[in-house]
Amino acid sequence: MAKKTSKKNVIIELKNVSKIYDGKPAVNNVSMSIKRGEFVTFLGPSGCGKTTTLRMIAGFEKPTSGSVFFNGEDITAMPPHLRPVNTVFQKYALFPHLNVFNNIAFGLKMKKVPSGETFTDKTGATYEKLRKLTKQEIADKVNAALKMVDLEDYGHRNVHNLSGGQQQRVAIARALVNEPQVLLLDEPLGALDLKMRKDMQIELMNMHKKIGITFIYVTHDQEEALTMSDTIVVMRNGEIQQIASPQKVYDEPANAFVADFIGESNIFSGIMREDFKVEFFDRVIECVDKGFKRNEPIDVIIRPEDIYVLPKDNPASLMSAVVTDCVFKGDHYQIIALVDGENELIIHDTAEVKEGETIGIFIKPFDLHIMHKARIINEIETEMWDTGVVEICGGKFPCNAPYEGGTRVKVSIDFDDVIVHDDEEDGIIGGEVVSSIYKGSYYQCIIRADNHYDFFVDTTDDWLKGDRVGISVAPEKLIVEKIAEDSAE
Amino acid sequence: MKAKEFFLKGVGKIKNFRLTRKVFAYPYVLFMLIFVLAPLVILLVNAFLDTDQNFTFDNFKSFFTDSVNVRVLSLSLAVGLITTVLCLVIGYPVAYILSKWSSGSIIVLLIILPMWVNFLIRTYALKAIFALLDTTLGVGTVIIGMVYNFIPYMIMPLHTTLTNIDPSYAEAAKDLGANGVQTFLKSTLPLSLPGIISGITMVFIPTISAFAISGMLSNNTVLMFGDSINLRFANQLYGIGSVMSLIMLVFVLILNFFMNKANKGEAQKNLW
Repeated sequence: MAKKTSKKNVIIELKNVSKIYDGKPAVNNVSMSIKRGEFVTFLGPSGCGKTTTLRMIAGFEKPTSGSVFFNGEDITAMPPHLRPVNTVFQKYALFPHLNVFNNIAFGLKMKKVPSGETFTDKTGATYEKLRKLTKQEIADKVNAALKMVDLEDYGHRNVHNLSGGQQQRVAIARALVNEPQVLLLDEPLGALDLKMRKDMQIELMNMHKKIGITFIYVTHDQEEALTMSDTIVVMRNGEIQQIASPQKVYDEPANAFVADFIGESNIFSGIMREDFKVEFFDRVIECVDKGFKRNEPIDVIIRPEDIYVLPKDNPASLMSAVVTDCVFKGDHYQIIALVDGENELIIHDTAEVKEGETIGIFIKPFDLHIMHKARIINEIETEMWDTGVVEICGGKFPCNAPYEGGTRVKVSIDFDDVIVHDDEEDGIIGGEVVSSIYKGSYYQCIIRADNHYDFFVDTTDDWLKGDRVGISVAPEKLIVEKIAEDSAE
Repeated sequence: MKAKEFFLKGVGKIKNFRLTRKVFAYPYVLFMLIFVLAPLVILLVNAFLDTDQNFTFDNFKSFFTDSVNVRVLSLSLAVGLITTVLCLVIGYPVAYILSKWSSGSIIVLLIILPMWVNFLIRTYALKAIFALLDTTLGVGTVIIGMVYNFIPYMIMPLHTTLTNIDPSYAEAAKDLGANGVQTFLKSTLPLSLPGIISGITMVFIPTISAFAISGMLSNNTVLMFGDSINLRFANQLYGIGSVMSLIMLVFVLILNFFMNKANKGEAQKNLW
């Protein structure tokens, strides 16, 4: 019974939705349900599939596979004009040939409403007759919408004579005047300046409260998402990373990517020694997490404001660190400190410390967030090209394996054994940097080869996202294992 | 004394000469003065002169009193109108479909390609086809010839305008509840208006002033206004020929005025 009521509350549901462009998945097997009246934000870096997901809900894109449900009804194949949703476009898409009033009235002029009269067809079925809205009704609704967005006297104005913020309001009014059940907003504040954006954020939140319909909002601005939403859907590379409330996304990020993308954070590699005991920086520290495998490699995430600065001889301190930088940031100091001379910590504290000073560090066990690693080694199933040469992602890598050409093998490469070259030509294969996360003393990059295999790489350099780089591996670092014939078949 | 002053002034001018950007426009201004403005002035003067070079209004009188002239003018306007409508009706769907295709601009190039062949040769070819089909030459064949010659000038601006329309307008229309037909009528069509207007201007004006095509495709039975003017000048009736040219010019100016008005001055931007 409880399940049924919760189902009833769901207005939009995506089930295993994928969208593939030219063989590349833009959205990969996404499933989620959105509750009635919720303010949901799709958050992620550009190219993460958030806009494509929104467009599939609006009906502008058809999913390659999977289904979209609206109030429990499958609307995957329904064209956009029949869907009870309206969109505020990124660049507003206000019709330049119509004035403000007619832009807002555009949807109303096509709308049909029950007229109250009924009519019976030949088979005896009774229908309610539909009629168009009268001029007066349209004018009333448009004026009410203009009033809602504070543009009462702008009806006769030309849309290109309006400022960005005013165009934005017209776009919102044009969508809301149709009384949609869901309002879709595709980065609507992207073109506005900071001050305007802050004002519009608050206005949108107020509108959402007042009207009570579902808002689905797409943005790459994490602050915007944290401020406005009831629920945040964090996406990367077409996949959902986490669906949770803003507080939860911030305090308990699901993985290193979410932690890095939302707010500032310290991310370190560590090992889970046993329940409630984590090792990082070569120290075993108490934590509140359990259920990991013994000695499982994990990521430790600590928010800068969760690290406490103590005098260096305070017995409560877990470790000592040397301050390398201390910058005043308005409401706090941002302190950068080195532990053991190699691991960098970012700390936010209200007290100033001096550069070069040794401080004690304390972290509450509760504030240590432990996360499974996405991967601990790069593993690729492939085959030998020739004796001593293995094929990986279309490139021929020399190795020390004795197997003949054509043998099915599994290749393992440690993260720090992958060599990244600035010039694509210098590597054996090329790839694109998709992410780079700082882990205290090194960067963990993900480099996507042209056949979409993701290489995890630990490097000392910060590679720019979107750059093309070359990849190579020293022959002795390639761990090649033969796959038994029967298991390969 | 005076001559010396004048000379010095001239030298000063030359000394002060500086190669500014303005200077590069001088050859063009000169060209326009000699080949555009001067002929227009000559036309205007000729229109008011009789054969003995005396001032007269007779040329105007004889043009408007001769019913043949008025008939030729109205026939030209009718042929121009029909040709323009046909070009628009045929050209718009073509341009619309091509704007949706990624390889559309290559096909547009194929449409322009015949334009690289001299129009006389193309018209002779068309005449040969009509002969092969045993078609009687007349107003009908003239219109077909005109459409054939001028349709690229309709498709080109339409295609450019249609491909440059942001697809989010059509999406916005659909989003607001417009079906396919409504989306076209309420967003795409009005947004392509600048293209339609440049298309009309670029077909109608050359059509009414065209000559040779009509004569060739009707065995000289259909006389367009352009042919008529040509005939007058060929027979050295400069006065009446000038009057007719001026009347044509007035028509073109009137048309341009209305087109610009309909387009709120956006035509220049989207000419091609």
